[in-house]
Amino acid sequence: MTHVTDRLSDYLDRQLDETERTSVESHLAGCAECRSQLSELKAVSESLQAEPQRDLPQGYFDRLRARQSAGNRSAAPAKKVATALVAALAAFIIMGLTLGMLTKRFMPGLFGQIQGMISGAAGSLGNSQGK
Amino acid sequence: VSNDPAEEFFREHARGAYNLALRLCGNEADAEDISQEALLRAVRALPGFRGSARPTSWLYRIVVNVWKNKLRERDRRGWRNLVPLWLSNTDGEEEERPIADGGPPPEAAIEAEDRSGRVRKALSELDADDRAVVVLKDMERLSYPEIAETLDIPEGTVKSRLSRARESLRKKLSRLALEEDA
Repeated sequence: MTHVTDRLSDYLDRQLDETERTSVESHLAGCAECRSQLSELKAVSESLQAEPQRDLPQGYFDRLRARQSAGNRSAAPAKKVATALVAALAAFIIMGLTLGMLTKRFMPGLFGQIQGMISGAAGSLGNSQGK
Repeated sequence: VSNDPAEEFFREHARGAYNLALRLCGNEADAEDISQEALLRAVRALPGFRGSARPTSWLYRIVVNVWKNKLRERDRRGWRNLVPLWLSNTDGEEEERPIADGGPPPEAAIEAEDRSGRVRKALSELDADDRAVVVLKDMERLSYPEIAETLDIPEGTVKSRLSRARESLRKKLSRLALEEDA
């Protein structure tokens, strides 16, 4: 006789179609072992269902709001640091460009030397990567 | 009445999130930590929530994920599991059970309490996936489609996992009953 242990949970939750349900019921009618298992499964399920909902502990919402505020506060400095970094980078680029333009206009010799150094450095970098 | 959406969300869902976390992890301190983290994550994600999932399934999914993350963190640190304090009912408060006004007599209440303790101990011994499915079905009374949505698994997997979990609980309870009788 093949037991129906693996279908008892579905049977309990009325998840079997009519054919399967009839087959399980006819087996249960002649099998005390499966009937006993079904009754134990039902008791387990009922015990779990009988567990009451607990109330929230006292002060739960105060602690929740404190965590929310702490989270907002810790997120705020990170945002400020990121903004400061972006501003510093933008200032650095603008300063570099301005300095370059002023050098080109008032000290063309120095500008040419710097341009040559940059081209040389770029060229040697290109060569070393190409090897 | 507050107009703050976060505050409204907390008021509406905190008790459900707390109870689910308590049933999953088994102790009040961790349940508070898990449920609060889940609520804060949910509130941060609220503006992007389009309602494709039911709010409860969506929040419950976050609770289950936070709980599983905590389990993994503690496993990494060498802790076997969250400590299920509820096994000994050491939270300092008696569960309210209706004894008067037609409730069961004290002997029956004590027997029910013992059985309840055994059930929760057996539940705490299940692995995380099995525990989640049986808690959602038998304690939170979710339907199969809701459990599938919450755990992001197919309904067939819900059925097979639930069947395995209940069978495992049944065997553990038989063992625990025998141990107590011995």
